Amino acid sequence: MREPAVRTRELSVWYGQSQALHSVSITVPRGTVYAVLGPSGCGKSTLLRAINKLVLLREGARVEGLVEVLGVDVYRDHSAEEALSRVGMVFQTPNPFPHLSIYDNVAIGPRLRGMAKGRELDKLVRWALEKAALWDEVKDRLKSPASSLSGGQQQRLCIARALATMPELLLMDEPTANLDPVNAAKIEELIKELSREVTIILVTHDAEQAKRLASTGVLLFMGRVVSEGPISSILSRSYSSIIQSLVASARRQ
Amino acid sequence: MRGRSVKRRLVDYAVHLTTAASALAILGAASHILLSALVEGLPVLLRGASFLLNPPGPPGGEVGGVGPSLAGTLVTVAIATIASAALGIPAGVMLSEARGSLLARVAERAVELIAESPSIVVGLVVFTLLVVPMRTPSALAAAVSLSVVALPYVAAQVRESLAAIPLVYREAAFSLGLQKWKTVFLLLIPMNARGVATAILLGSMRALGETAPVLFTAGAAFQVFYGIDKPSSTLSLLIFFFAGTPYENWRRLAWGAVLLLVLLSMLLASLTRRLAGRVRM
Ligand SMILES: Nc1ncnc2c1ncn2[C@@H]1O[C@H](COP(=O)(O)OP(=O)(O)OP(=O)(O)O)[C@@H](O)[C@H]1O
Ligand SMILES: [Mg+2]
Repeated sequence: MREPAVRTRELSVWYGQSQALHSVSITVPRGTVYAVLGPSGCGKSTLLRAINKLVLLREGARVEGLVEVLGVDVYRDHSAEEALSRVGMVFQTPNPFPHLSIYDNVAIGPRLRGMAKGRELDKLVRWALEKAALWDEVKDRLKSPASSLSGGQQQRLCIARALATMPELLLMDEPTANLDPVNAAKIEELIKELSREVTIILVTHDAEQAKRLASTGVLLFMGRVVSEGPISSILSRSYSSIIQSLVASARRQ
Repeated sequence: MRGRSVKRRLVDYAVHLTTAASALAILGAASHILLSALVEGLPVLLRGASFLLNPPGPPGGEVGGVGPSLAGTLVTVAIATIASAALGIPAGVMLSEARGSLLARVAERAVELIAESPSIVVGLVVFTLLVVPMRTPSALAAAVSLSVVALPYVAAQVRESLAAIPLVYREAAFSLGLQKWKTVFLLLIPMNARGVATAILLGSMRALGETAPVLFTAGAAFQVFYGIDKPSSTLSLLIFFFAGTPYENWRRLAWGAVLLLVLLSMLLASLTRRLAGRVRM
């Protein structure tokens, strides 16, 4: 049995004086879609960014506790950089690089990492764009700027950009939040497809989306874990039992 | 009640008047600089090739040109631009990306120290470190002191252009699994290439405009451009030495050099502005 894709123990994150995550312990099994659920501001994005250390880009951010990604303690081990290079991310707002063409947005990761060049790279770019269900729409204008795409296309381009580096773990932060229902449905289809090959951690505040896509997950509330497990069971809990477990977890600290 | 409001109106009026007066004074000074440079310098500049290529005439004789000093200026500014970029870009990157680390704090203090030093002090330091051991002032020594003076401007501008990159793009760049230095140099810097180009131009503007650092480092070879490791001169140096002489022809030559220097600076400044104006992140 391989180690889980992600394991956190007693993970706490501060932005300056204010604590965004309180002793969060989760285990993300490999080969699944794992949902991170909870209301706005509960710390979903913070949890995702603590996993790949992007949280450290923010002024005053501080992390305590254990975060193991693909078996590596990413805040202490020397091989953290290597482990995190096998983790891709898709963001809440589509953010293709504004200075690069459609092609280069996808090619830049593998190119700068020396994974492929020339024909090989062309093939890899095509493969990633096909995986992201974007190839047919852009194959005749690969050299156009990425900003010429629609919002939904830009988000699929960002998925292709992440896939091109062949991640084993894909972090997706509300990838459909800024899209219309048609484009959102396309991305959901894509997530189902991708989940056969990569482990996906999907942040969403949409319980229905979580039910459609994920098998397990965690429910956060005010930076604390309310419950973790099969989606149906974490979503079926009553409001009063949520309050009870929050009070209990606050007492324990 | 009435008294107060009259008083207030008077104060208002006075403030407006002083503001307008100082604005006019600045405008007057600026146009005076430009006008005198034009009136005195244009006839000399219009001599064309002989002004740009020839050496100065003999004292009291014909006007001649600024050829060797122009060559010296171009060479020293070019070297200073390259050197200040070569040092200033990594320094700016460190100030922005390694904020808080020991190395970045040291670099920050060093850059501040240079920025706060009067530029003549920089010239003096380069004189003792380079001119004395080489036993001669040179275009190279001048370029070194100019690049030191330009360095803080380049570093600060590079830091600003990196800081201007929105977090969403920065996060995307860092999520691709590259080593940190690759992310910064191969993704973030190209993302704001215009900002970095602006930084380099700012450096060359600084190098072109400064006189004090070259006073004891360039030498005073106005007749011939001998090469980068030999005594040389710059346009600003020629103005400094020739404008104060009793010889009518040399003073006219100095005015021609003033106009040329102003034009070169304005050219660089407008390039910089055009680039900076298009930096949009
Ligand atoms: N850079 C920051 N500085 C200070 N506080 C922050 C910062 N980023 C987030 N926070 C705070 O941390 C808490 C968790 O934020 P986070 O973005 O992780 O929530 P979220 O669950 O992703 O919310 P949403 O659903 O709105 O995206 C919030 O209270 C937020 O205000
Ligand atoms: Mg969020």
